[in-house]
Amino acid sequence: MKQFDFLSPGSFAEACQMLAEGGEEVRPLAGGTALVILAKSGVYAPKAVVALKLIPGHNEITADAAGGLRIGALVSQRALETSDAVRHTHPVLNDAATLVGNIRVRVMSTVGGTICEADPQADVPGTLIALGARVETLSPAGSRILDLADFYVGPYETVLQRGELVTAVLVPPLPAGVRGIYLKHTTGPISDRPCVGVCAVGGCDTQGRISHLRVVLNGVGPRPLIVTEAQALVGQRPADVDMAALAAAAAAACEPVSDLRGSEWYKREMALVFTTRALRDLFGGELK
Amino acid sequence: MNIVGKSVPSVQGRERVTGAVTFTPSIEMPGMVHAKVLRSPVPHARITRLDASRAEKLPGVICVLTRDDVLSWNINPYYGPVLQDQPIVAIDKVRYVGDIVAAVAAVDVQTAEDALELIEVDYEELPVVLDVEASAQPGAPLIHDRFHKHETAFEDLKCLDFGAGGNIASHFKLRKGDIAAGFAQADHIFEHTYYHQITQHGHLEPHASVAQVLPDGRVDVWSSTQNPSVVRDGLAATYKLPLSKVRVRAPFLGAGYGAKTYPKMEPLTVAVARKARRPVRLVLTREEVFQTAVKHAVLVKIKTGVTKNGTLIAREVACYFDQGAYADIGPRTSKNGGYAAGGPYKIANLKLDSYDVYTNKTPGCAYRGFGIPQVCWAYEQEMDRIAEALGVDGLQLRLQNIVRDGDEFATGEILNPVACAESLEAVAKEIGWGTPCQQPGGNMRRGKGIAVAIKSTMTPSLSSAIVKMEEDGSISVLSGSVDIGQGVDTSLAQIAAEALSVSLERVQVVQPDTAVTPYDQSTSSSRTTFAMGSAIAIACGEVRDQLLAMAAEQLEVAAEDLTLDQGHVVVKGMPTRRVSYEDVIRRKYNMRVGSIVGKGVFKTTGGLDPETGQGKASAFWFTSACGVEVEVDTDTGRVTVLKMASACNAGKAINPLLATGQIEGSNGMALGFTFLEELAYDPGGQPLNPNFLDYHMPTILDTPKEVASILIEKPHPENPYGAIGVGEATIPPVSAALGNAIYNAVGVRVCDLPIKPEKVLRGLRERAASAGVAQGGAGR
Repeated sequence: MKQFDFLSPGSFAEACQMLAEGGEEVRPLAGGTALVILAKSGVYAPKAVVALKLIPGHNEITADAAGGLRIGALVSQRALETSDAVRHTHPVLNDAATLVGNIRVRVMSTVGGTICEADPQADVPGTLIALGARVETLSPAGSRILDLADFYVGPYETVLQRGELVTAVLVPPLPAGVRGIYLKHTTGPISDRPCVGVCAVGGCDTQGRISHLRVVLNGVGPRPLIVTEAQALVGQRPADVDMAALAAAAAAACEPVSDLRGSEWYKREMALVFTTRALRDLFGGELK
Repeated sequence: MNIVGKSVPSVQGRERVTGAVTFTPSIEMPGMVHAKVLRSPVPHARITRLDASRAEKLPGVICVLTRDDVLSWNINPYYGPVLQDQPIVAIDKVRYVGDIVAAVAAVDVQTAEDALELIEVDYEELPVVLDVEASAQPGAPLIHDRFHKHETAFEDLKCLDFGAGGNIASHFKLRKGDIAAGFAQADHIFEHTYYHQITQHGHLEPHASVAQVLPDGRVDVWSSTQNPSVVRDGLAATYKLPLSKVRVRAPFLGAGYGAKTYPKMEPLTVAVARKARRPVRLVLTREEVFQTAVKHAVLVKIKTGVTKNGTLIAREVACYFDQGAYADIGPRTSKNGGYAAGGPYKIANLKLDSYDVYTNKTPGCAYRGFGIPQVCWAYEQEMDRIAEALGVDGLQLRLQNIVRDGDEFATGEILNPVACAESLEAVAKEIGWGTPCQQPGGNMRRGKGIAVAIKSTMTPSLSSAIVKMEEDGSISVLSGSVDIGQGVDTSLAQIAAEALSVSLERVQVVQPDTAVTPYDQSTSSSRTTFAMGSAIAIACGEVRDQLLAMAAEQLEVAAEDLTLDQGHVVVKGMPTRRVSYEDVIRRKYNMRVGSIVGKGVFKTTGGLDPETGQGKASAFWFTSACGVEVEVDTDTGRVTVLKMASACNAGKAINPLLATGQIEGSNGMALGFTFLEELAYDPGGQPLNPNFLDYHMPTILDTPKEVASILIEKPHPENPYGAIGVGEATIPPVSAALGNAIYNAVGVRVCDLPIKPEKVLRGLRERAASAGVAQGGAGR
């Protein structure tokens, strides 16, 4: 591994300044589970890293009275997996985090890191999109809040500007009667990245009509795939909805790439299977 | 017996897993510098220019080793345990991505890495050969223009034909009976092709060596090796030194599984140390490990003639071992896979051919199972196909044809003891063979499968040991066997403790050091308990005889009337007339000085005829079976192993805990290469996943819910305790048992490993398309 400078800012503001001034070859380092692999393999050689982990005050998960969450960017994926606050408000996030890599990876890696790495195979970012999460960022120009659904440009590419860092994730409360499901299919060991991951968040109102439905797929395109057709089902009874058509729409919309985890054909098939399973889990026996 | 047969925990287990012991990558020497290797980025090319002058000028660089050095020294620049085909650094050509082009020694690893980038190399690319069968054809682009047979090649390889030409490094053939007549008598003929992929061993500790060349030319090496004696032999041949001037030490080893047999990084590290005139340490990265040693991929074409009553009457098998760029020990791997390719069955007419074929890939080397998992994958799925076609039970068909004690093997030798039938029956019982699976319904289908295997051990081979009784009566065992994590430091100590009647705490097995420990051929082939165990028992016998003779004189009784009991020599029938070992030695010399030294040599014999493959292939035979129950998700093709039962003959389990650990470890590895692992290459010869991010090994979460490890004990007459090896015994039949269970569950036969979910799903879709309806298998 090429040697690089290790910069240790005292605050996110200072970190942003370092990154803004440092240029392309100065990169933020949180858990290091992605960047260190790239640096060790020689794929990427940073001149310096801005180490974020020692910055105080960004590793807490707080729930508000309405059931919304604020997750600090430096919260580890292990903390997300085991958080009681999360289990109380958004247990699907615990479920998704549990499936990330192995325990060593989860202990080291951070929520902010997995969001900003923009690996289309990551488990947690797609789940957060399905939950309608927003991210809070900081840069020398100030702070802004972005919808995570609009955050991804392509593989390993986000809308973040140079010198801009994610400081927290804001997860809105789940509406009454709404819950989430995350299903992950691996073709390697259980600890592998997903061949396909499907997060479905939805539920019915007291009249038995779909009040909310959001479906996001991981691993089958350049960024998390939001199945836009799901929105259109709001107001209908699950029994009247052609869920198979929705799953087929998801499979048609995805843009998988053949690799060692499966061919394009197989990934599309799995998108269909796991979208169907997620919807069935969500709406149970009410499916047509 | 007091200690043999007891489940004693590994004597170094805790120290190993806590990192308290020193492994080779952590060894430091005064004045030591660090080596890094420049590797070929292309799979096959002529080197037209190599200029290291810029790298040599980089501050901190001690030297750069190139072809100019190895050609200017009075050494043999090519090495290899069978064929001297591998250059220390590339001389005229590179033959695979990762081939060694040059090496740098520098004051630290970073400087050495930086220097690599300053070495200028021009490559003139040559046609690339990746397909093993195509590479074996006349006219395929030649990977080696010439190579030399090793002068000291092993006896057992004399039956091989090294003159086939082209890219065929060696050819093994076996002819038994009349193959044409056999097929003429057959009522049914089955013919299929199977493929077993390239995998890597996944040893936690990478290859590492520390070397220094002393001012008088002696060579001193510490290396992560499974066979220090053979490495010493290789280094002596390379550097033209007497064996006594080469010293190889094997420190604690962080696993090997075959990847650390025969010279690997040692010839290069010594060359760098020679040029640097300082001690040099070379530790490979994980990526480099994938470019150093892998398991052979094997293409198996198998044709079987069967009579209508289920007798296997003729079998013809052609095996193509994908050797990669250099032969390493591949001629032996392909030979051993070759004569076992017919399986553990009585077949009167056999024609077996096994080719070791060069390709432009990472060299194939020893890997737990040594060629047998590859051929068993073929012949045991073939048995289920035959049983299905004949409408008979797969277990019954196997038992009808299986070799039993006293039967003749393919090589003509008489087998005794073998436990193929016992192993099969044990696993069949364990998985409830014959009773249907409880089908969970929905998209899940369950099925059961079995498979049986037979494997040889390196024969002839030799192990020797020295056992010292120190002046306090404690025992030192000087053995060249390496504790590679399998626990031989424990089991060999148990053998010595038993033979000399002392507690285990009074025995120390000395770490292998060729200047100190006598010759041992190899810690491989699962031969250590059998061969080194026997040598130690013989050496202990010599110690015992001397001790008894001393005591007889002192006690004025005949030596025959004495026995050993817990550190004391005792007059038989008079338990109060006893004297401690320490006192026997003290009385002998009138001082507390001296030691009693015993030596033991154990050699096995054998050899096969070059034309017929008949003779004696093995001093003992590993026999094992595997039975599994699986659940297949018919929507995704993903397979879950519900239950896995393995059985093998241990002869006598010296330490049942460690023996069972070997079975469980074998199963974990086999699950990896059955379902997950494959070192993949793109069509241009670039490896796609030479790292643990993309090359997937199973974790504990991927292991079966229920496992059963069954040790059968049919003693071997040549070992004092009846023990044989177990380290590789149960790995061969696993893949085929799983393949058979998947077929039993859903009617899909996968012939090429690994069994990825996609292959199963495609099979299900093809089946549904051809049947017109989607339906699962019967489910046993």
